[in-house]
Amino acid sequence: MTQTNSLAGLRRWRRLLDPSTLVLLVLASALILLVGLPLFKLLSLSVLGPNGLTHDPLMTAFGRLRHLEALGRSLYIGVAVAIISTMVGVPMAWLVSRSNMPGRNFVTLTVVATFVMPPYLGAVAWMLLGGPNAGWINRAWEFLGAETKLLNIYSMEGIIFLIALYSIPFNFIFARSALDVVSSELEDAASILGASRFVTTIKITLPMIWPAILGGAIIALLESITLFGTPALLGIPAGITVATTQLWQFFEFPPRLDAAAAYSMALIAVTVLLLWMQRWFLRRKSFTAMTGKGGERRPVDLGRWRWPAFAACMTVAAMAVFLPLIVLLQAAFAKAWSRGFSFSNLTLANFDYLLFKNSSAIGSIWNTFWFSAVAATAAVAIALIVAYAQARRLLPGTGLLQFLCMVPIAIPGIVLAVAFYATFAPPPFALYGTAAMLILAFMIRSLPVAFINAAATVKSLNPEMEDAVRILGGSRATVMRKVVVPLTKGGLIGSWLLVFIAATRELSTAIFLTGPKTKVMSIVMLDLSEEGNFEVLSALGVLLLATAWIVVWVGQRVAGRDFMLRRP
Amino acid sequence: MTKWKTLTPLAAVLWLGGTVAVFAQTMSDTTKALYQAAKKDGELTWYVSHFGLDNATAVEQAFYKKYPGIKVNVVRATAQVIYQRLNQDILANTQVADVYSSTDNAHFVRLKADGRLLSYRPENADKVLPIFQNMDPDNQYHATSGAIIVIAYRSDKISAADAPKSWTDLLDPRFKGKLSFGHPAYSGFVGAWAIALEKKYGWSYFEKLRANNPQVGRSINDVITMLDAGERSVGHAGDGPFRKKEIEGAPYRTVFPEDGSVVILAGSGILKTSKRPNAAKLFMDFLLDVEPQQIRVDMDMGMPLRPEVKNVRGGKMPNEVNTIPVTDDDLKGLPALNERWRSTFGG
Repeated sequence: MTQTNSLAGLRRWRRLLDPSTLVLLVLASALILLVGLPLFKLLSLSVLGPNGLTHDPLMTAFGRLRHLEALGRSLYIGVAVAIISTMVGVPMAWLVSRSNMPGRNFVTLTVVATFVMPPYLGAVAWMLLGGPNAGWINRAWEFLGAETKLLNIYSMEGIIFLIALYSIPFNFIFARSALDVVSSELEDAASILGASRFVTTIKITLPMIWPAILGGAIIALLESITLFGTPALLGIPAGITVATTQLWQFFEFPPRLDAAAAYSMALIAVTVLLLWMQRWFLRRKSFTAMTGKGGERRPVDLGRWRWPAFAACMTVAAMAVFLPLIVLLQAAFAKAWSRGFSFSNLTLANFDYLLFKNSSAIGSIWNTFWFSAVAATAAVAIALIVAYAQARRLLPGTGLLQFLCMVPIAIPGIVLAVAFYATFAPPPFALYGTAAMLILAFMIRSLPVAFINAAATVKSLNPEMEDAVRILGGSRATVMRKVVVPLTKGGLIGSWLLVFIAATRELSTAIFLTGPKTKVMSIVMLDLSEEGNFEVLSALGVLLLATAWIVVWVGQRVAGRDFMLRRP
Repeated sequence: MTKWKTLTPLAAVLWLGGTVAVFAQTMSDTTKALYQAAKKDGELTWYVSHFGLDNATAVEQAFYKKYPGIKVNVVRATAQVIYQRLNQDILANTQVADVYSSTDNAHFVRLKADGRLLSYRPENADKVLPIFQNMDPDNQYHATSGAIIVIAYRSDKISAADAPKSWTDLLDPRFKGKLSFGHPAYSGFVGAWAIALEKKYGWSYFEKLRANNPQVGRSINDVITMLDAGERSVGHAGDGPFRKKEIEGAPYRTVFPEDGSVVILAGSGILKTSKRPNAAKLFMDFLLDVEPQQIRVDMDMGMPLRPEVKNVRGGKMPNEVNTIPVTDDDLKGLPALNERWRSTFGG
C-alpha cells in the first residue's frame, strides 16, 4: 500500500520535473510578472497614497471637466470611427470575397499596404494634403474654381476621417475571413424565394458574419481610443485633447504618475466593457451557419457595377496609401517640401542625413527592426507553446496561461507603457532605457493577436502524429521541433509578420519607454514632427515603409498572400 | 528651419576641420587633464531643447571631432517634453542625462532648489560676452544659447503697410485665420513669450487672440512650418532662422515689436547624478566654446555668445532691442499659465 503510494508520488514528481512542465511553469511566472504585476501596480498607484487608501489620484484624474471631456471625445471618436470604417471595410471585404469585381487581389494588396502604413505617418502626409489653406487637395479644389475649403484636417472631423481610414484593415480582415467561409446555399434559398440580391446580402449574408463585423468594429474602436500619434499631430494644433494626449499631459511638470494610472483605469474599464458587450451579444445568438465550410461559393455578378465598385475601392486606397505615399516621397526627396515638384528641388540629402549624419536616426532604424523581430519571435513562440499546452491539456492551469495571454487586449498601448514604466523602470528591475523594456512591452502588446492565431493553427493539427513521436520515445520538445513547428510554419510566419509590422509602427507603447539609446523610428518621427522637419521625417517614413514592404513581400512568398487573414 | 540645414553640417565640419588643429595646440592644462579623465567616461547623454535636432547633431559631431573618444548621445525635444523626460528619469530613480539644456529657465531654478545640479564653472564661462555671463551666481547652470522672439510674417501675403508692428496688432481682425503660434506647455520659448505677454497685458490678451482663431502647434518652429506651407502667414519666431530665410531671399520679414521683444537666455547644467562627470564637464565647457557658437550662427543664424564669432546675421543682440523682461520668478508661474492656456485654446 505504502509502496504504491510512494510510487504514485514519484510518478507525480517525475511528471512535474518533465522539461516541458518546467517550461510551462517558467512561462506562467513570466506572464504573471509581465502582465499581472504592471496591472496590479497601476491599480495600487491609483488608490494608494503614502498614507494608505486615497482618492487623491482619482480626483486629479477625473475632478476636472476638461479631463472628462477628453475621455468623452475619445469615445465619440472611437464610435464614429468604428461606424465609418465598418461601413467602408465590410462592403470592400464583400466585394473582394463574394463578387466578380475586377482587381480583387489588388484591392487586398492595398488594404495590406494601409495596414503597413503607421497611422501617424498617414497623419503627417495628410497635414500636407488636407491643410485648410495650403493642403494639396484644397489647392486643387480652389484651382477648380471653388470658393470654400473642401476639408480641414485640423478638426474633429479630420481626426475621425484619418483614424477611420487607417482602421479599415481591421474591419476588412475580420469580415473577409468570415465571408470566405460562408457558403452560398442560404443565399440561394433566399433568391429562390424571390429576394433581390441586395435584400439577400443585407438579410442573409451580413447576419451570418455578424460576429466578424462586430469583432472588426470593436477592434477599430479600441484602436482609435488608444491611438496617440494622430491626435497629437492633428489634435493639438486644433486645440482638441483626447484621452491619450490627456494621459501624456499628466507627465508634464509636476508629473502625476498616480493620476495617469487612475486615468488609465477609465480606458481599461471602457475596453473591458466593450469586450464584455461583444461576448454577451454573441452568446445571445447562434451563428451556426458559419460552420458550413463544405458549401459551394459562387461570386455575385455585379454587372455594370463591376468597375464603379473597383473605382470606389481605389478611392479608399488612394486616400489611405497612394496620395500619402506620393506626398511622403515628394517631401523625402525635396530640399523644401513646400516648394513642390521641380528638378531643382530634388535632393538625396535627407537620406544622406539620416543614414550618415544623424546618430539617433540610424540607431532608431536598427532598434525598430531588431526590437520588433525579437518581440514578434518571442510572442509567437510563447503563444504557440501556450496554445499547444492548452489544446493538448498538458498541464492543469493552462486556462490561466491562456487568460494571461489574452488580458493585454484590454490594455491600451499607452496604458501598458504607463504601467510598464511604473513597474519596471524603478529598481529592482531598473529596465528604463534598456532594449529589454521595449521588447517586453512590444511582446506583451502583441501577445493576444499571436495567441488567437496560434490557437487557430494548433486546432487544425491532428494529434496522431504527435502521439506517434511520443510512443516512439520522443520528448515534448521533440514533438514541438519535429512535428508542430514544421506543420504550422505557414500560420506561424503569418502571425509573426502581423506582430512584427504592428510592432514597427508602435508609437503609444514606446513613448514612455524609450531612452536615448533605445529610440525607435516612431519616436524619432514624433520628435521630427515637433520641429516641423517634414523632409527628414518623410525620408525616415519612406525607409520604414520600404523595409516593412520587403519583409511583407518575403513573408508572402513564404506564408502565402493571404497571411493576414484570420482563418477560423 | 529645414532647407539650409542639409548642407550646413557639412560646411560646419569643414570649417571645424581647419580650426581643430589650432585649438588642439591651445588646449589649456586644465582642459587637457579634464579630457584625459573624460576619456575614461567615454560618453555622455545630452538632453537638449535649446537647439534643433540638426543643430544639436552638428554640435555633437564637432565635439567628437575635437575630443575623439567621447560620444554624445543626443536626446532632443521641446523644452517641456525634455523636462518631462528628465522628471520621468528622476521619478524612476534612474540616471540617464548628464548634461541638460533647456529654453525654460524655471527648470534650472527648480532643479537647483531640489539640489540636482552640480556646481561647476567651465573655463570658457569667462570668455563669453558679459551679458551672457553669470546666469547663476552659484555656477549650477550657464547660458549656452540665446534668442530673441520677434514677430514674423510672409511679405508675399501681407503688405508692409498691413504688417503688424506690435503684439497687440495681432489682435486685429485682419489677421483672423492667419496666425500661428507654438504651445507653452511644449516649448520653452513660447512659455517665456506667454509669460511676458500675460505680464504686460493680462490674460485678456490671449482671450482676444483666441478670437482670431490662431493655429497652435507645439514647438515655436511649428510656426515656420506653417508659414512655409502657406497654411498661415503671421506668427512669433526666434529671430535667427527667420532672418536667415529673409537673407536667402524668401518672402519673409521679421519685426522687432514696438511693445517689446522677448529675450531668451537658455541655459545648460550638469546633473549631480551624472556617472560621467568629467565628460559632462568637458562638454559643458565645449558648449561655451567658439565652435558651437559658430555652428549656431551658420545653421540657424543664432545669436553668438562668444565675441570671436562674427554676428554676420545682422541680427540684434539682447541689449539692442526693446524687451519685455521675464524673470526666473515669473517663469515659475508657467504650469499655472499652461492650465489657463488649455482652458482658452485647448490642445
